Amino acid sequence: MATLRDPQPLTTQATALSPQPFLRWWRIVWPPLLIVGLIIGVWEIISLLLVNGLEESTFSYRQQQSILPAPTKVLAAFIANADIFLNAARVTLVNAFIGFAIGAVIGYGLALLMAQARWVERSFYIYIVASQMIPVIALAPILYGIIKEETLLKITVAAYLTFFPVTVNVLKGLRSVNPLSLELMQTYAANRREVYTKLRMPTSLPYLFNALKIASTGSLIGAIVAELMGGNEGIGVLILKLQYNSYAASDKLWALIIEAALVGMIFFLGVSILERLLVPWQPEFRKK
Amino acid sequence: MPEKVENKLSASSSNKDKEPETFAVKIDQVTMRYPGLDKNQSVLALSEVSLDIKRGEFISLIGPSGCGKTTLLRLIADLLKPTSGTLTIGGKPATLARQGREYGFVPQAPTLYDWRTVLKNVEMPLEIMGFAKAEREKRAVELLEMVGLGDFQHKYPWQLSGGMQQRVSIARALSFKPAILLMDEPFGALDEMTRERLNGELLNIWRDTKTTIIFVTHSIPEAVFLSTRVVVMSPRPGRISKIVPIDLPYPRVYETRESTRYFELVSEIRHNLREVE
Repeated sequence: MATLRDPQPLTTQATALSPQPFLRWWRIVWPPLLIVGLIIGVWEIISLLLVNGLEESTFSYRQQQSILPAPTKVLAAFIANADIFLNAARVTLVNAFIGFAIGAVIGYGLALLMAQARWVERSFYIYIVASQMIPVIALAPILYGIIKEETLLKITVAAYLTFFPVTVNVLKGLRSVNPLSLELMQTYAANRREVYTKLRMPTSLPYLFNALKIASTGSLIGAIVAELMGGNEGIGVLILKLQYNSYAASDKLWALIIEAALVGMIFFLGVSILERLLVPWQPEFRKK
Repeated sequence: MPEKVENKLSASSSNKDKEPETFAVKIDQVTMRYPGLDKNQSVLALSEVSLDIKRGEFISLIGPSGCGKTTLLRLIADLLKPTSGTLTIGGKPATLARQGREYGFVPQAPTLYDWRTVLKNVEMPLEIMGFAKAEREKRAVELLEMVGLGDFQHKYPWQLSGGMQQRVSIARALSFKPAILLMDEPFGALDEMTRERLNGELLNIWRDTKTTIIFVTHSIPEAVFLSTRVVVMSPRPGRISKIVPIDLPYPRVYETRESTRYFELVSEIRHNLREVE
């Protein structure tokens, strides 16, 4: 039998040809860095022109500053307020994450329930879609009227924005099983639960992570919107405070918004790394 | 241990029923009509097919597209229910035979689980049948060695070539030691060289496991090389047109394919197929 084995090298080739880890990393990182560098440079120049170049301007110095504060000023504003800003980001991220986790569990549960029968799916689906037609910005004040409690509100809104993509994607995943695989399960006389745990649920995992990536940024936005309703801590609360003082505070506002974007990216990146660890069999991650 | 194994043990030890011991599969007057949009559009895939397969036989079903050979295999596997007629597999009606895990099934495509290693793929049926972990692993390792993939246990399916994947699929179907192996054009997608090599391996497996094999194929040389009998089927409606016993001696080896008798049998079946088209 030994002579019948396919003599293919399966793992060694690709790694032997690939460059050093740092070089490989650098190749991935330099294009986005270049773009960011260019944008910051252009921005700095435009900002300087707005303040210094347009002497005929009818705007005052402060007004000009508020239109587009220079990146250097934004950075300075961030460093000056780092304590407050980082604390706000932490509060928002933690609440968004709790809501995200709860929403993901509820979303997956709903998908499992809806996958059981078409009539269940039909009964739920339109209401689930309808729920997403309500803008968060309109829903948040209504929920605030009901819930009142700051943290609970944030978690609720974040969960609300998470469950929908999870339900829709996971339902699709649970149904995307290869028909031949299902027939094989029949030939093993597998019961319904085994078909789910051993076949349908593993098949749904790539779909779940697709949804979680969408929901990672969504839940963060949900938490920030909830904070805009009022509260004591968080990015949304700070945005609200700084808006009342917009001329003087535009550099801080910009710093805060950029911070929110970075927090969103970190969240997204975290989910992506988790995906690589937990669902490594997807074609895009395969190392031949 | 699943209860069916105990049943089988007690049945063979008491030795009451001789009948189910002689025949692995009995197909009696089976008709299969696929429903269409209305009555006029329904398709008669099989018309009153009868066939008895003895234990230990290697039967190939061959015929042009639409002759119902895959339908017949799926009826034996209880993946389809016949419109009329009865199928008896290992002495049981088809549904009970499926529930009693009487047969292993090898589909057209390898259909492996991407998230499981090769070893865990082979263990899947055993997990569902409730075997203990140690026993599962022991059997899976044995079978992978039998199909020549002992060194690939910890690879993932997508790291293997098509021929290797199909061998994993065969090992998986054999994992719970079924008395019957149903194979639906398992080597159809492989190149000629790989196919011939796997044909040889399959005969070794058949000899070692004493399994009854029912094998659907498009290839006349493959059917002649492997089988004890070749069942030639014809289309519209699907039926058995001829059964050709293959009297080539076993073990069949490289030289078998060059013997005069082999060529005679290949031409005989080719003529039969031309008549039915």
